[in-house]
Amino acid sequence: MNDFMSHMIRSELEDVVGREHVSVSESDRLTHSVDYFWLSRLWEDRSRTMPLADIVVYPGSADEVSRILVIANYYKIPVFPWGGGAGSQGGALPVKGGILLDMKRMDRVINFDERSMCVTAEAGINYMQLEWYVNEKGYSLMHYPSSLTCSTLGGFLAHNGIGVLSTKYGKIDDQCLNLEMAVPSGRILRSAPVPKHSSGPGILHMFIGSEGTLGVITQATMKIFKRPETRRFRAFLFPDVPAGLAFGRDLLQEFRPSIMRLYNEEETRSIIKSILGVEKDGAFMNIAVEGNAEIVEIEEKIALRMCAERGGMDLGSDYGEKWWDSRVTFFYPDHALDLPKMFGTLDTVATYSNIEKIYWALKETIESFSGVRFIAHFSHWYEWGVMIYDRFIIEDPPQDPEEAMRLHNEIWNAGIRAVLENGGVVNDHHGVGLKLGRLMKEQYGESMIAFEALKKELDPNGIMNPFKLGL
Amino acid sequence: MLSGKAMDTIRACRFCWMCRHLCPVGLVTGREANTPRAKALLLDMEQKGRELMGEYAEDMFQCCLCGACAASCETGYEPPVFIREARRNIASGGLAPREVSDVIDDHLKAGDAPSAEAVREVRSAGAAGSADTLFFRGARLSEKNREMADAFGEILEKAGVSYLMFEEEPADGNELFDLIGETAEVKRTAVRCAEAINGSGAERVVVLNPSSARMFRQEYPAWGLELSAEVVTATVFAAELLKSGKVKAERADKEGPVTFHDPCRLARDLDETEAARDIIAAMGCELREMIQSRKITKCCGGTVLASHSPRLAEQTASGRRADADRIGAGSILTACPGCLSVLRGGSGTAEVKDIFVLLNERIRCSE
Repeated sequence: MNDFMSHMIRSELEDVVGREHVSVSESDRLTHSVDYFWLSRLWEDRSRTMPLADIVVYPGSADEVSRILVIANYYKIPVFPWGGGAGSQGGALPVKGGILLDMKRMDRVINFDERSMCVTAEAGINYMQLEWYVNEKGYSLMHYPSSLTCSTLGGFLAHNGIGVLSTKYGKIDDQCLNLEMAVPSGRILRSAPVPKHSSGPGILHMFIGSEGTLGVITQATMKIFKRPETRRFRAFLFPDVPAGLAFGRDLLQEFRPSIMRLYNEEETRSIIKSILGVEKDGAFMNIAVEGNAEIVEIEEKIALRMCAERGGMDLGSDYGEKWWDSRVTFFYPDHALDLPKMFGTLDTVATYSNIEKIYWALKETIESFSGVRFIAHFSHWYEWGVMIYDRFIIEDPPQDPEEAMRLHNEIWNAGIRAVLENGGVVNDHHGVGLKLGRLMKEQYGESMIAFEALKKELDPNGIMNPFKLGL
Repeated sequence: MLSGKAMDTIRACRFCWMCRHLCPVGLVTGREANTPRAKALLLDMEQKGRELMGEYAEDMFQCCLCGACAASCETGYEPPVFIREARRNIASGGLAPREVSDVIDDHLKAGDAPSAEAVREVRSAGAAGSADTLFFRGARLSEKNREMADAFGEILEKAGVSYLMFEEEPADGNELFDLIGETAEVKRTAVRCAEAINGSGAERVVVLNPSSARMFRQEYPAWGLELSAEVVTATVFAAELLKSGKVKAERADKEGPVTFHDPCRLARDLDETEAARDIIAAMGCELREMIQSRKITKCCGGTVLASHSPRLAEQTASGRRADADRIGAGSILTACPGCLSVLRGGSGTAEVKDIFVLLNERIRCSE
């Protein structure tokens, strides 16, 4: 865009949000050019410049978001919503220039409804701050991903995230009652006030996981939960992954623990040994049961009995407590995977009939690449299936960033195709973003038309977060 | 040029998001640049050859150096290390924003100004022998909050503690250190202050401003400046006076629920969180804790930020006062002259009070 029109549009945006909330400074544009996506980090590490937004705008209300979108839609300027910027899929990266919409000024709690056990807040609120808000009142959101302190309410909803307590309290889409989204026409759309109804298909679930490709989530109402009277941990060791999976499946038919994590033999030997000190070989599992103390006592007894019946070894409560205490340590510098390593998390979810097939197919596929290590664990369990959190790690990837990018994408393509061929999905809880958008059509085939129709109607000029989600 | 420690920290923080929920400036501005990650990322880019100092100069000064990020880092990285060094480079390169350079100039003049370092003794009734306690007020701040220094002085007198005071207190360099980092100018100020304290002959220096106490206990020794006097914060000293029975506090029944705003330097740098709570308990106040208390206290903004970016400090202080209002506290107490003045510059319902003024009003001497 020419210089004259850039200034004209900038003044229009300043008219909406105020001059101090619009920036074209290089430092603001650069800080929004790198997120948690490995390739964006690689690019920065190798002194290459990621695509920059032309202008950064910090809206203060849903009305301002709506007016910004109207301007962007008129001039057909791309808009990239940004929450915490902590996504691993490149979902917030401004890969086509345009407007970077940083939502963090929109951080107000709008309503706390203790009677209905829910809280309504603007989408830019930091999720840890929202958790502390409800903690002050004696409750919890029970959404504890490792990115709890990094991310915003809108960011979690946009990619449909999950926390470590999900098996009992659900994924974030289970925890959301309703939301509001501004779309390029300037309309502010609202889902039904409650998530369960027979008033047509749920708009709520069309917007959750839409990754900013349809509009901008501006506020949402989330469930709150009574804090558990007790939370008890128990660790088990199974001979192998199939034995652990069978135990998990059977346990879910009885009750829902809050945490259940089964690690494959390799991850048990590496991460679990180094962090928790478990020396024995096998598939390590830790579970937590929580809530009313009387019920928890019974649930723990059932779990112990079922473990013994299925050849598992009871390792007591210490390992689980230690894991809980150190669960976020894994994500701090020097503990988390980082450059110069190449790594990726191919989390997917499938039925119990398919999950083992996926595990073996993925392991074989990933290990067919030279010098690649594969680790995996299973968490987020349902009555019908479970998520698998597979990781590939290359200690010494190519130095050349373009070569490294090619290898990275080849591994992802091969891995996700192995998943799809065996009944899995492109992703379980990190989202699709830029990283996996190209694979969406391979999952959905002709069914992509449903997404494309929504996109066409709500965002006819294609300004919303282009190149993400395969749209 | 950045130190090896700063560079290691930059490389660790440039891709880490874990502490942003605690940044008091980032929370109120919503700006990505107001996160430790963003600052590390920009410095990393610059180290790789991109000319950015003029671009990020303002961003580096939009930080309280409160250390919340460092306190929460499970690995132990300290973003204030590289931010302070970046400020040093910005200032020495003549690229500091005008508002900041004006404040730096003021501090440099104050540090170089001749001061009457003679001490005078304040005798307390019933005190035996000559005074061996130096009361270090942190004059620059205390001038703005005379009530706090005066109240603490009266507490000492009521406890029968005679004390020494500088006729004209030398600058200790704490604010200048936050503005331009470890430089010859800051060290020169520190040397003069250390010599003055040692020259007073005091065995103990009771320090009102936690930022000054932090300098005396941590930075001065790191620069080879040893104080002959033991450094005690005013909070710990007052709590000891209560514990030993030298003074007794009447119950502050009319006070209503109070909350305590832990000053960052006191809670995080000096690891002193309980003395103030002991004082509050001795006064019989109902204490309601904010979630961000003790080690994860939320900075009010601080006096350095307030001196060059008053609007931003007002926002940050309002953010902190909102925490107190949310839990229904009638008063927000603090134990730092800087916090007192900055918090009062913010908006909120709970009244901002100094713990020593409140204590002084309720003290009766032991019999």
